[in-house]
Amino acid sequence: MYKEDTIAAVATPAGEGGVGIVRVSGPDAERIAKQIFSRSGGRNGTLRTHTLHYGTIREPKTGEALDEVLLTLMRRPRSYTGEDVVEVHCHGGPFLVRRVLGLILSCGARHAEPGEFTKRAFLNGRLDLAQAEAVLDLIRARTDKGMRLALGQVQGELSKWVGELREELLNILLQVEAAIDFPEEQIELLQRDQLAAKLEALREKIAGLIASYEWGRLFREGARVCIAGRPNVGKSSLLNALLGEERVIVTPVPGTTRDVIEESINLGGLPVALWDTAGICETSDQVESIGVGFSLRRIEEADAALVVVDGSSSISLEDRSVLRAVKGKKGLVVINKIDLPQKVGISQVKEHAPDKDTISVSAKSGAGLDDLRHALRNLLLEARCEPSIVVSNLRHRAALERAEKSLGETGMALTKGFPPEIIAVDLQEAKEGLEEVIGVISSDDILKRIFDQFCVGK
Amino acid sequence: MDYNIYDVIVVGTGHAGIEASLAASRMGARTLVLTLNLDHIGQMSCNPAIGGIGKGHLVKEIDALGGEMGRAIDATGIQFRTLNTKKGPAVRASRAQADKALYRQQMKRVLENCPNLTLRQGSVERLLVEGGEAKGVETQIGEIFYGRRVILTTGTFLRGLIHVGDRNYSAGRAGDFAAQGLSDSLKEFGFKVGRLKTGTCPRLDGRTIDYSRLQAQYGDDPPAPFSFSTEKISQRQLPCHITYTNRRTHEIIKSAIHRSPMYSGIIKSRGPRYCPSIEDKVIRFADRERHQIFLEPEGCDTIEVYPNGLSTSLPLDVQIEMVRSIEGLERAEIMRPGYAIEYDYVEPTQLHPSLETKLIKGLYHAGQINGTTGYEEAAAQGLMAGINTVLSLRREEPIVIGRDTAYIGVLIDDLVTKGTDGEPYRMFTSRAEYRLLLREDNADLRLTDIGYKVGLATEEAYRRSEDKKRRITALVEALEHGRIETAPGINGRLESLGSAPLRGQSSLAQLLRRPEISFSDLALFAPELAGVSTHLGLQAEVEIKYSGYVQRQMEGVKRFRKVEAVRLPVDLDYAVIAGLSREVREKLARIRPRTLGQAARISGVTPAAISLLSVYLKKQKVA
Repeated sequence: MYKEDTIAAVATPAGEGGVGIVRVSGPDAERIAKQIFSRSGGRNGTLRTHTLHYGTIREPKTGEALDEVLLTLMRRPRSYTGEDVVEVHCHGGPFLVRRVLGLILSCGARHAEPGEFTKRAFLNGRLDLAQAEAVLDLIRARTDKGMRLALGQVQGELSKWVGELREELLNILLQVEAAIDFPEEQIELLQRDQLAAKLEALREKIAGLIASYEWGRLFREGARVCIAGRPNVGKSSLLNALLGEERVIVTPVPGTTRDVIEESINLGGLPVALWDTAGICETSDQVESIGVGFSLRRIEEADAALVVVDGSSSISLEDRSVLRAVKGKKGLVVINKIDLPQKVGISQVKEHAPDKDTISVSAKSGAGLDDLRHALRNLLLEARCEPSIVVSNLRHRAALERAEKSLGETGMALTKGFPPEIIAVDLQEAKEGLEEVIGVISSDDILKRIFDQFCVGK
Repeated sequence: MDYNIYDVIVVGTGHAGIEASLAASRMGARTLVLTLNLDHIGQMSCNPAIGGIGKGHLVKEIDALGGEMGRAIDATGIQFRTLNTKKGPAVRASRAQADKALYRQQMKRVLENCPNLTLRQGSVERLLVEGGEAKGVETQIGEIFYGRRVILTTGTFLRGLIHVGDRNYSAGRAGDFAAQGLSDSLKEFGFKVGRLKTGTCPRLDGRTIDYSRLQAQYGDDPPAPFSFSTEKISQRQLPCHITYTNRRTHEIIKSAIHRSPMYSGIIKSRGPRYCPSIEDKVIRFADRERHQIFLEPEGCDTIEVYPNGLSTSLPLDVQIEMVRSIEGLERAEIMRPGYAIEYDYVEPTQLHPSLETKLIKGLYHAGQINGTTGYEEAAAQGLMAGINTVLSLRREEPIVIGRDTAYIGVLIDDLVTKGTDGEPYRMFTSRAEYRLLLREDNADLRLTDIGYKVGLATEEAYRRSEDKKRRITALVEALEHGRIETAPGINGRLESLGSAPLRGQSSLAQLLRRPEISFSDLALFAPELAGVSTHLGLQAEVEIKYSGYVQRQMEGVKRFRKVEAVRLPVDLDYAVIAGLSREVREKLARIRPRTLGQAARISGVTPAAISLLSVYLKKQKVA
């Protein structure tokens, strides 16, 4: 719920930085600024809006100077949130920044909830819904590429593209509406099969957008990849090799990794969480069996599995049970330890896992790791090239799915020979789905288009 | 007691004025009706026809509420047709050619015989207002009438200016004076007054038309009446004829286009794009080789013919040349020239949804003064203004019909919420969100009880519609339960309808769900249905065949009603709601929407603004 109080938070990322910014938004922002900020040269009076002021932050009660700062006041509505906004640019250093924030909170501001500035920006009409959601994604984006995708949306790429799809849809809808409202006019309208073809083309474009969600999700949230295999095939070594440093305890004793270990790597911009799991084998050890059950569940949750087998020992019953466990799951078989004399051939692996590609590596020497990275990235992204527009928000995807479903139904209604006003109901719903993404609501558009395009009226 | 104090004064006796004055007087108000010309009551200034797509819907709604238009056209129509018969029931619409003179006589007779109604000729020049309330009107000759409510239905008469070529003259329509002073009077009270343009065709001498080479268009046989209370059409029926413009016609128009006042810049106001002049059509759609012209008789007892599609304001010599270039019209004589007319209208966003003006209490506007076009649109507003003046005299809440209930609701909501956007407003079915539910065939079911409650629709009409509701429910049930077995012959009959054979048992409803099967086909399988009226059958067909779609629209209506139920206080101070942009704030303060739903329909009011507004309202409620 939107409350008209004043909120504050540190606006720059945590950690040491050149500058730390504390942002304050709401009706009391200016009052608080006046309370804690004194301009250099002792000048008083009102702060000019949209100007950088140089001065000192002081504890109002004691007069103690905390930091020399630059402060800006942006009076509403020309600010990010549409409210009065004050930003205090402190010298970096988490401690100082936190003290300034603390001072502001003690003057009556409330600590902002995550995304609250953006929420206010949206509620005040400063951002449309798609943009607001993209900003929230941006805040959460994990890698640079995820950042770029989010930025694209802030700039309205998604809105623009969906807007174009809506245009296409409106041009189809106008055909249907013109047939209804102007039956006596001699206007040339598309035939049913032409309409159906156009609708199908449009539906496919929307389906493409929906598919891009998965792509975008991987970049934003990161892919989850589970490393599976019987004990001691070198799962942790592989994880370490991919990480490029020793992180996981590696011992020759089977079953060392009982808990799931999660580490993140960056696969050409794609953030990937790697889960090293307990070795899967029939075990009587109670503790270990818990770990094994956990591993199987983890395999299910992951976007893909890397099944590691030891190339230096022949395929065992245990290997086979692991390969069985990942059957049907997106994944790769990694033949490890190729630095040792080999007892496993690719064809042998294929026999047990016909649906999976095989990569040979040595976690120890690093041989084949680049191939593995490449193959894993392709697998996760399904070798799709980067979609030019990415839907990265669940609400958008749901709206697009509704639009796509409605278009599918329109196709059915067309083949059934349903009359145009029925067709129009489906098209209208598809239109609403698209408009939900970009946040436009318009009603007279169709008539305007009909008048522009057709000679109607006696 | 001053005998000159009326409950309601209606200015104008066009289609809006007629319905307004009949509604007011029938609801028991002492009503005075002022007209510029008592011989021109219910005049059809443009084409001699009532109805059409979206418009037929309005007429049926007017009829269901207890208005006059449907009965009048039934009594005087000379050709009835149902349009869109090849499409679904929701967009089928009635249209009829009228005998213009008979229609006028009919309406005059009805007004003259209506109790509580006083009919006077006079030109109203000034509105009398005291303390922000309408008190009466003053005519051109200084006669003063006092009234507790005033309804203005001035049509195209406010500072009307007729154009033919580069000539123009002041007139309300060809043959009638314009009302010169009234719009200044309105401006003085602070109303925003704009200017619109419309036009009409030349009228031809039917004896000089060679019909022998033209295609005749006959009406439906038997003709289907508009009014739910009309049993049968007994007027003599006449055909229309169809001809086309050709390249030579277009050449004539193009070479004279600089002499058209629309193109020479003499007329600056905008006309309706859906009712373009022939010169507009030829210039804007230059690749079209021909345009259709319907030759419509203006009545049984006249030789005048209305060439529908030839609206023009070109100079008369060009009109003659143009007309004579058309097949069948080679020797045609023009009896009255076509012309364009500019007139003042009062921006309808200055009205409450009751059609009362926001500026002056007790003053109502209806019809073309609100920027609409069309007899049906005018009549619908007139009826609602008439009803609401009387309700306000009774100190009752006005009737505001929802967009989910009737085209009348769509019409008035569009007018008071969005205004006219600088172009005369005409009804189209695409303006309605819930088109499948707003059909001609169920207008009585949607509206009769409203008309009955205010005292307009008769007891008989009310019973009839309640009875119809019951019978539809029973019929739908019977169809759902009525089984047909695979018997010899059944599949043969299905095949003859182009439908797949039955496998096993089926219900009649299941058959009806097949797109190729209509209700009338069902009698082939269940002979007892042959006696069911097509009217009822249509209802059942819609309910069964499109049940999924009807259901979805009904869910839409539910959501619509939810936001529509959130009332906004009339005195809401939009300035104190933080976060609204200046533009949105100004719009809301100007329109003063009654409900959150209406606020959302104002153009430029963003969804974000609506969530702010609803948050604000919730907070107020808590406080």
